[in-house]
Amino acid sequence: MKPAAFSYARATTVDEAIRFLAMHGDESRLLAGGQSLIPLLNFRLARPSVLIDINPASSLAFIRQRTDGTIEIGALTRQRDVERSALVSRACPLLAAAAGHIGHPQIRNRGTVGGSLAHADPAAELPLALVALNGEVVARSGKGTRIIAGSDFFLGLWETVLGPDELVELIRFPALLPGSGWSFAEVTHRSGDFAIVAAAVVLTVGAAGQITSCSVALSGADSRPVRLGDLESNLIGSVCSEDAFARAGEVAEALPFRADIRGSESYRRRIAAQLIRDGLVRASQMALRAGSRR
Amino acid sequence: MSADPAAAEVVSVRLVVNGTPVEAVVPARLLLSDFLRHQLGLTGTHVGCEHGVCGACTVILDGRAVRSCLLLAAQCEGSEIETIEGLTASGRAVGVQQAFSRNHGLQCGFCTPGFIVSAVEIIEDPASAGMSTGELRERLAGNLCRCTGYAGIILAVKQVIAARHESEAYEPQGRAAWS
Amino acid sequence: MRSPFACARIKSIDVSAAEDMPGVAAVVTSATLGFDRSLPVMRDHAGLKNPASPQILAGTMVRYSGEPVAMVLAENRYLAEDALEVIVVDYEELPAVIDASSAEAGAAGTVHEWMTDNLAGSFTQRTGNLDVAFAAAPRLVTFSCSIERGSAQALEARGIAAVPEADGVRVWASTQRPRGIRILLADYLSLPLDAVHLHVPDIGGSFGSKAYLYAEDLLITMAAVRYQRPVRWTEDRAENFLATYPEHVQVFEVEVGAEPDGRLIALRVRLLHDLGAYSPYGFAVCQNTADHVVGPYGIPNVEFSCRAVYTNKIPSAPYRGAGRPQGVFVIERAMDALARALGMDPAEVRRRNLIAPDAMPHDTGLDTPAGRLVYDSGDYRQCLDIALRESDYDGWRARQRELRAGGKLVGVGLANYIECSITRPHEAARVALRPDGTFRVGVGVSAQGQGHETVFAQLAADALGVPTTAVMVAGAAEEIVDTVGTYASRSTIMAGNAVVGAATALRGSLEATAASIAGIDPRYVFAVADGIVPGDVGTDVLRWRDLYSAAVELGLALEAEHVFRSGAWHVSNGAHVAVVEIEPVTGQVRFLRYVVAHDAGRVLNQQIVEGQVLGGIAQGVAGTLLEELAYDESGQLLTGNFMDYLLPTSAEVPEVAIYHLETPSPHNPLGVKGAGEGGILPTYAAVLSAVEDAIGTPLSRVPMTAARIASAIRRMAPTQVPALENAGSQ
Repeated sequence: MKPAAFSYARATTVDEAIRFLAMHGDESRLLAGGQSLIPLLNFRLARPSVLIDINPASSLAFIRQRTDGTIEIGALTRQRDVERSALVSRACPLLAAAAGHIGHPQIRNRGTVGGSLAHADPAAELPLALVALNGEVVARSGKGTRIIAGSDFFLGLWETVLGPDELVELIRFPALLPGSGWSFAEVTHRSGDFAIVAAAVVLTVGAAGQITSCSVALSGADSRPVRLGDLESNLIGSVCSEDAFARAGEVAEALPFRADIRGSESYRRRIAAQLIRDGLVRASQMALRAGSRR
Repeated sequence: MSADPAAAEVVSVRLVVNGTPVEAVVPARLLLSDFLRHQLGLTGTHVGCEHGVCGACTVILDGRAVRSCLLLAAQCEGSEIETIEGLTASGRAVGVQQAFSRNHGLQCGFCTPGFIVSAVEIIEDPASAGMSTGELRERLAGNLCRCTGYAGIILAVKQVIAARHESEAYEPQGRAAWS
Repeated sequence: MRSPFACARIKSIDVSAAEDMPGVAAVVTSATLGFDRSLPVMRDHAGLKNPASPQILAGTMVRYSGEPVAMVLAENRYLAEDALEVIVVDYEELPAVIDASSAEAGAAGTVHEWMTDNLAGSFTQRTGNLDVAFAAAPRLVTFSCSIERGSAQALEARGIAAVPEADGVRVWASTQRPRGIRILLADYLSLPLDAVHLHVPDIGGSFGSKAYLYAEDLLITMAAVRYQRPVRWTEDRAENFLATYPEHVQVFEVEVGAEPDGRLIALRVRLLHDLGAYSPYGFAVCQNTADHVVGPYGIPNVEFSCRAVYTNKIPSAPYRGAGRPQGVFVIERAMDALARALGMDPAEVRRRNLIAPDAMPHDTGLDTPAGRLVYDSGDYRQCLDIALRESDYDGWRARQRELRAGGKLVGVGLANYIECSITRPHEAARVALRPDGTFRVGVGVSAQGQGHETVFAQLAADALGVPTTAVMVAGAAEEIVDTVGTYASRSTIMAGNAVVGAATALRGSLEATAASIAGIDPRYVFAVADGIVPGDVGTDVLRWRDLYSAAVELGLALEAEHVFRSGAWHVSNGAHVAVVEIEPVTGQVRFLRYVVAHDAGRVLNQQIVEGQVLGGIAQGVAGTLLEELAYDESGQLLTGNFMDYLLPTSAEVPEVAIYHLETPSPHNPLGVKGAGEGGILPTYAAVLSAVEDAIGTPLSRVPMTAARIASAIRRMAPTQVPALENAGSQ
């Protein structure tokens, strides 16, 4: 369990990393936290010729808030810092909760936000949060900067729209709207394992108790995190009720689910339905409480 | 391969290990765990799985507990690393070590250095004060032990946290949580 | 290099490119190995008609995925792995026999081309008259069940290092059987025993998995001798899954004949045992199953028959318990099945069948290869009562009804067990006074975390009358000849009594020495912590250090050896009660209570005994609910890493309360019994019993993963399933 040989390059700035990427392209891999990449190297399942270490590019590690409330997180920010950030917990609590579900603290101490998104594991927490929260990814290459909507970012198993010359620079997450509630829950075999299924829910409730906006997303269900658009549009406009949420659970049960060693299709389906029902209940209760305080 | 002089299969690194500056030239692919064990002779860092699950290789890198099997030695340029040897020499781990010994928190001892390093991070974290046993079980889940069934380990860390934060939950009796 | 196929013919192997790789010293294949032997097979069973010995390196056929094919010796492991990638092996893949039942049926072909079927052998163990008993039994219950134990996964994998010496080799090995391995290495390498020196340093766990002479042990030692260079191999985790022998599935058909009041009259058990591709351990595992299938119960008519088959999987070998948990599993399944059939409380059915304390020693009537199975001592009923009382069994039964009414799936499970240690034939210890006045205890057994150093020091110190700090324990001491090893919960019984014998003898001879120095009658000297007082209280202490010098001058003995021999059955026992709650959608199990009543004879060190029990329970709980060696139909292991083979973390194991009963064994001076395996033996049965009690439907296999529990719940009639609750984490 030792990596095959590769060349190693240290990038101290984003520009330098992009220059290295342009030079080595497909042959190279970016090394951020390495918590997924290095196991793959150790098993020799990944064999890049060049590893570009962006950890020295410390300008990529930050958490800040824009005036419109949006949280911006540098790609190299450690997951543990997101989990424990007071700013994130206040403005974007679902994201902090999602980060807290990743692996174990020793993994989160090193693992990065950008690395997790770029790795695109179908059961991972941060990709789900990105999709559920309508986040966006700011990517850079030698050709310039582009902004990718979270829902467009993931293509499939370990696959994103990032080009071989492109690097995630930062990620934007809109702040939770007033009158909103949220839930992030997952089922794992053991503490710290990848989710069998994880579900994220964000709900905003209007003055009359009707749902005004809604986001429901799953990971572990498909080869990438998915938004349940039909379910969301059915819920918008309806009043929070056990019935409405039970129907939502039924909708989720009709989705296709993948099967692997962590769970069969039907096992995942039932867990997803349960997580969505429970998540909607929790998020709506929170939203109603938030609304009543308004 | 590359026309780029910055990318190389052999890399020089300067870092501080247990307070001592170290300079070395290493293969780019050399894992930090192997660097510590085979080049520096710091064999207290144990290697149990080399894919980041068991936690036996945990060290403190720039103040945080991390898996040394998931880091390259080449990445540690400019870093400060504390291994179990360093934590022992400085006395920073002594409370945890004594509590492990007192509570039979180890049998074969292979996972112990990793647990001690993880436990040091936990006990030094102010957020650990008042942690319930269930929370502590979750918090320690990043290290695997195959011998003890964890009872003695949980009790040991609980005692050190309690003593450190002088919580009234302190239970000096070794068997209290088992029966 | 290890075979990627479960079954294939090797047409050619080309290592030339590997030999040219940087840092490569040599590449060894079967063609260049220089042995025409294969690895040893334990042939201690008359029923093993077709033993199959594992190959050191496969030459023409590979019979399991992971079977060693070639060895690369290189400057370091990185370079060795590089070289492995350029070895070219031309395999012709053949259909593999993976499943034990199809192996038995034989339709899928044979694992060994020299055999006409896959049957390694069979045996039957019986007492009484089954046909008469079953014909007369008012109640009959039949069922089938299976249990797959999985892999020991000691956190430190195996390792061996060998350094050539002028006339031999010096070896450091992670082994549970130091002397046996040393003798085998000398034998295979045609070296005199004295030319092979074996050191066993601290070992990171074993649980049975480090007791064999594996191919790597032999290959590394051979390479050091052949190439006259130090050679080292450290198994990595991926290799451990492919190379260190686990236990495979056992499939049972069970018939129970009973009285209407729940007393068992007859038990018939048919076992299909999956050996994997070879039989390195003979029938050690399935014989243990046979010896534990009656358990702590008095059953007059018993028949146990076993058929052992080969499959294209890694060979099986003992893993903590080594067949015992399966025996416990079967009889405890039988108790639960009988309770269901009779509508009785499962605790009551068990109580009615437990052997009474005044019936000890109890002759089971079963003749085993190790002699008639006779239980030595124990109060089985009291153990069960303690477990029931301390777990509040009756209270849980009452609460269970209320909780069920509220939609909660809460279940209570229990299991009794016996644990027979294999003691035979002997263990020796040597205790010596050292020049600095401290004592050295040499034992032949090595330790992998069991606390030998602590317990043996304690025993020697007590016998010598000195503080434990004055005693140093050297395990796997080469001078100890009469030794077998650390397994089957035998070390404290065998080596422990040897230590006491040797320490007592040494004390006697040192007292005699002191008496002769002082010129007084040996009856008037006595040992104290510092040394020996030759005469009345108040006389100056002859300090140990000075006694050493004096004895050297006089040419008197400074050490004593004692060999403890026993072939007697030392039978520990106990009872476990598990209370669980099950999440209906995920099938995940949460422990509400776990209580152990434990009797391993005299407890020498409570913390160590409890550590053994707790560790065993953690392994057993995970073996029941999480860990699974899953193979695909081509024989590839699907769970060969720690992401997929789910060792339990601290968050998955229950809090356990342990209560001790101490019924001494009459078979040894200390009155001790084995305690290393008791924790794991009943756990599978107790946990599965609790799970099926919670969901109200019988379950028949282990591992019983959450997904399987969930699907069992779904298969039940909808009215039986409690309504969903709003659970979940945030």
